[in-house]
Amino acid sequence: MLTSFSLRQRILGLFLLSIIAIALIGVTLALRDLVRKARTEIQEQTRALTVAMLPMLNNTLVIGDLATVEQTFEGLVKDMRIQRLMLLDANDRRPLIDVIEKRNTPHYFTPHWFQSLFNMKIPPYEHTIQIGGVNYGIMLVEISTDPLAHEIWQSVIYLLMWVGIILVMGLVVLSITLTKGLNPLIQLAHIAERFGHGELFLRAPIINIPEIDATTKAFNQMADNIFSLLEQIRRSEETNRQLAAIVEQSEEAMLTVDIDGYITSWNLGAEKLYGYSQKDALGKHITFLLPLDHLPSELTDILRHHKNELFTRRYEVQMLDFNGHLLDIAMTATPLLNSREEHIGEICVGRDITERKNFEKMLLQAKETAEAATRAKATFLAMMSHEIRTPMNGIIGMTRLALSTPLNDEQKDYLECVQSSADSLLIILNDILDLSKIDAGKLTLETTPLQVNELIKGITKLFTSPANSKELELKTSISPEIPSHLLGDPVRLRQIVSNLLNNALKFTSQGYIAIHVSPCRAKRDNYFGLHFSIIDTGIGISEDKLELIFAPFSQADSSTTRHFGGTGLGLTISSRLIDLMNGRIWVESCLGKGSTFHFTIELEMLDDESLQSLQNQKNETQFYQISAVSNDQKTYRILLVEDNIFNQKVATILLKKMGYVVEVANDGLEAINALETKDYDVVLMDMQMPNIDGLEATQRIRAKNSSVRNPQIPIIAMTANAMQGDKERCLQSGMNDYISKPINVDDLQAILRKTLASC
Amino acid sequence: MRNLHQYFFIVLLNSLFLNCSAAEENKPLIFGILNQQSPQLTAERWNPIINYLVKTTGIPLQLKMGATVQATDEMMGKGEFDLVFTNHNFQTEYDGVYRVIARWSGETIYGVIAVNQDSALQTLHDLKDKKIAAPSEDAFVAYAVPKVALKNAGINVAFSFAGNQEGALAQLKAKLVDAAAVNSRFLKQYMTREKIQFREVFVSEPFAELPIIAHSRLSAEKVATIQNALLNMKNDPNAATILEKAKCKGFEMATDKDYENVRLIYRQSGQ
Repeated sequence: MLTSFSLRQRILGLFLLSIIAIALIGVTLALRDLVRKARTEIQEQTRALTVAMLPMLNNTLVIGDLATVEQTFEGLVKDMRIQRLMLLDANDRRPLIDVIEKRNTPHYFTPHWFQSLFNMKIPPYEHTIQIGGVNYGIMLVEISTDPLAHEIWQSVIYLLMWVGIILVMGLVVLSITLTKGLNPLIQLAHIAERFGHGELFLRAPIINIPEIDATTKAFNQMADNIFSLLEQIRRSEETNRQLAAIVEQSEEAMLTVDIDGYITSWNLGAEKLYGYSQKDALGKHITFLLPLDHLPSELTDILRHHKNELFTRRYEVQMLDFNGHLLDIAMTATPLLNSREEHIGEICVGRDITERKNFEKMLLQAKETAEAATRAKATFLAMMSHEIRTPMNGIIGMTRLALSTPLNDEQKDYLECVQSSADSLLIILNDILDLSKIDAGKLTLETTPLQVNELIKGITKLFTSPANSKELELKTSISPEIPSHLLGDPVRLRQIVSNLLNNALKFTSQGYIAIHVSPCRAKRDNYFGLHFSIIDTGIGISEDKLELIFAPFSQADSSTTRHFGGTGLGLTISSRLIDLMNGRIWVESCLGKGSTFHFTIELEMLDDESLQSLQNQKNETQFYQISAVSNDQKTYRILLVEDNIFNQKVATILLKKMGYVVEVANDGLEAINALETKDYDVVLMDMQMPNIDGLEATQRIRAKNSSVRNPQIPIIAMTANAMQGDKERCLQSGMNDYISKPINVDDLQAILRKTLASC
Repeated sequence: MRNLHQYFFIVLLNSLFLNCSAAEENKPLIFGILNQQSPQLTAERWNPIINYLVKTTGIPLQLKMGATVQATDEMMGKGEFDLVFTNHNFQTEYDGVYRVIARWSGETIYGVIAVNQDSALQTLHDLKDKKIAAPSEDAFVAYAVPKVALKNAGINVAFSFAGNQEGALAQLKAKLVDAAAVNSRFLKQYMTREKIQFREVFVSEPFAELPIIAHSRLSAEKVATIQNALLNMKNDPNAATILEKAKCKGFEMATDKDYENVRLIYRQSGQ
C-alpha cells in the first residue's frame, strides 16, 4: 500500500505523523507533569494558608468570635482560589461557618474530558483546631481546580496552535526542500535512462547539494567507467578479430588443444600443413597426427605429465599428414591460460622442417665421411710418424755417435750437415704430427704443476746462445703478481713460447728480443690469466698479411720460407694450442720496425693444500737429485728392451757413455726371462715389439704372480709412439716414466737420474 | 380522669423543671482569664489546667475571655465569669462580688520602669516629660503601680499603650519610646528570650501573684471543691506535666487580705 505513495508523499506523511506524535506525547507528558506539580503546589498553598490563618483563627475561636471568623473566611474566598471554607463543630461536625465562593465561573470553560484526563479534582483540606487540649472546631478548605484546569487547557490550546503553525511551516519548508532535492534525482534518473538507451556521452550536472552531488558523481564515475569499459571491449574485440584473422590466415600451422589434448582450434596454416580441414580436425585428440610407432611422443608427454608447468617448450616431432606422409615438425607448445590465469590447454605452432632435416642428414653424413677421412689421415700420419721416427732415431743417434769419433774436417762437416738435416726433418715431422693430432681432436693438454718463472728462464737459457751469435739482446720481464705455481701443460707452453722466440730470432737481425709476462683477467673461476708478449725489432709484417699468418702452411710471404726456412706450421700450432688453453693470439706489427706477438692463456690455480704438497715434492726432488749426484759413483745395470737393431746400438752406446752397464733384450719375452735370472736397476722398454710388446711385458712384470726377481723394478717407456695417449697407456700398464724417440740424450740422462734417485 | 390529666401535667412540669435544673447543673462554670497574653497562648496555658479541674472536681468549666483587657473586664463587669484569674476585682466597683480562693504560686512581682542599656536616663526623675510605653490602662503592676509612683513623685510623663507587655518592650527595643513599664517577671523573661539587656530606673514594692477569685453566687461547696483541687495540683503527679507546660508552680492558699496593697494602689489611682 505504501508503494503507491511517492517518496515526497512518504517523507511528508512521516514528518506529519512524527510531529503530531511527538507533539501529542510531549504535550501529554508535559501536562501530566504540569498538573502534578500544580496539584502539589495548590495543596501546599492550601496547607500554608491554613497554617497562616491558624493564629488569627485560634485567637478568634478562643474568644468565641465566630462573626470575625466568618468575615475572615469571606475575605479569603474572594481573593484566593479557595472555593469553600467551612468551620465544623468539633464534636458533631455541624457546620458552624460555611462560606462558598459565589462568583462561579461560567467563563472558565474547560472540557470535562480534559479535566478527568488529568484527574484535576483536589480533595478538601481538613484541619482540626485544638488549643490546650480543647477542640474548638474543624476547618475545611475546598480548593477550586477550575482556574488551574482552565489555565492548562489554555496552555494546551496555545501549544497546539504553535505545533500546528510549526507543522504547517515545516511541511512547506520540507516540501520545497524535497522538491528542490528530488528534481535533480528525477533528472538523474532520466539521464540514467537515456544513458541506458545508448547516449553514452550524457553526464548529470552537479547542483551543489552534497548528497545528490555524491550520487551524481558516483553516476558520472560509473558512466565513465562503463564508457571506458565499452571502449576497451570494442578495442579488445577489434584486436581479437585482427588476431583471429592473423592466426586464421597464418601460414604457420597453429592449433590449440585443451588440457586433455583434444583439438579446439585449427587454422588455415594447419590445414595446409597437415592436409586436414578444420572440420575434420576439431575435437580430435592431437595424437591422431602422430605415427603409431611414435606413440607416446614428447607432445603427448607434455600434455600428460606437464599440465601444471607453465612455460613454452620447443621440440621436434614427426607427424603424419592427411596423405600419410611423415613430416618433421618443429613444434612450439605454449600454455594456454584463461582470464583467471588457469591452464586450460596448449597453443601448438608447428613448422615443417622436413627439408631442413633432410639437409641436416646429408650434412651429418658428409661430416661423418669427412671425419672418417680425417681419422684415417691421422692414423696414417701417426703410423708414418712412427715409421719415420724409428729410422730417424737411428740416423740422429748414429750421426751423433759418429760425430763423437775422431773425424777429419770434411767428414765432420758432412756429418754435421746430416745431423742438421735430420734435426730439421724431425722438427717438421713433429709439427706435422702435432697439427694432425690437433685436427683429429686428439691433442689434449696435461695438467701438471708448472712454474712460469722457471719455464721462461729455461727457454731463455736455450735462446741466449743463438741470440748472442746474432748480437741480439734477449730481455725478459715477468710480473711479480704471477703465482709461483700454476697447473697446466709445461711442454706445450714451452712449445708456444719457443716457437714465437724462434720466429723472432729468425726475423730479427739487429736490436733486441723481449719477453714480457703479465697477469690478465681469466674468464673462468679458479684460473689465472697470463698475458705473454714476445717483442722483436725485426722485419715486421705488412698489415695485409697479418690475418694470414696464423693459417696453416702460411708465412707472411712464400719467399719467407725460402729465405728463412721453416714449415710455416709453428704459428698455426701455437694458435691451436692457445685455443686449447682458453686464450687467444694476436700480433701487432710495423713493417721494418718489428713485431709484437701477444697471447693469453688461462692456467688453473693451485689451492693451498696442493701448493704445500708441491713444495714438499720439490724438496724431495731436490733431495733425489742430490742423492743421484752423490751416488754417481755406483754402476747401475740397465736392461734395454728394443727390437730395432739400430736403436739398440744407439741406445747402448749412449747409455754406456753415460756410465751405465747395459744389457739388451730383443722383445718383451726376452726381457721377462732376463729379469727372472738377473738383477737390474732399471728397464728401458720399447712399446711396439714382436712376441710380447712393452705394455704386456710390463703388466706381466708387475703381476702378482710375477716370476721376475723384482716386480717393482723401475720401467721407463722408450717409444716412437708420440701420439697422445701413449704416455697414459704406458703409465696405466705399470711403467714409471716415459721418454719419446728419437732420444734426446739430456732428457734420457735426466729421467734416468730421477728414476734411480727415487729407488 | 381529670386527676390523671393533672398528674401528667404535674409530671410534665416537674420533668421540665427538673430538666431545667439539670440543664442548669450541666451548664459549665465560666472561667475568665485576664488578658496577659494573646487568647491563643492563654488558652494553651489555661485549657489543660481547666480540663484538669473538670476531671478532678466533676464540675464543668469553660475558659472565656475577651479580645482585650477591656473586653474581658467588661465581661467581668456583666457578671459573665464564675471564676476569674485577675486582680481587677480589687477596684472599688467589685467590692463584695468576688472573693480570693487561691493564687498563682510564685515569687512576688514588682512594677518596673526599664530603659535601654545605653540610655542617658538614670533615675525616676529623669523620666520627666518622657514617653513611656505601658501595656494598657488596665494593667496593674505594669501601669497602675508605676503611674502611682510617678504621680506621688510629681513626675509628669506621657504614656503610650502597646496593648500588652510584649508590645511595650518591643517599642522600647525599637527606641520608639524612652522607657517601658512592665512587671519584673516579664522583663526578665523577655531579656532572656530576646538576648537583650534593659536597665531598671524604677522598681516598685512587691506584689503577690494574681489570684483566682470566685463569684459570690457560687455555692460554698463548689468553691471549696474547686479550691481544693487547685491547691492540690502541685501535689498531684497527674498535674505535674500540665503545670510544667503552663510554667506554673501550682496554686497556693490566698485571701483578700493578701491584696490590700493592690486595693490601695487602685484607690490611689482613683480606680
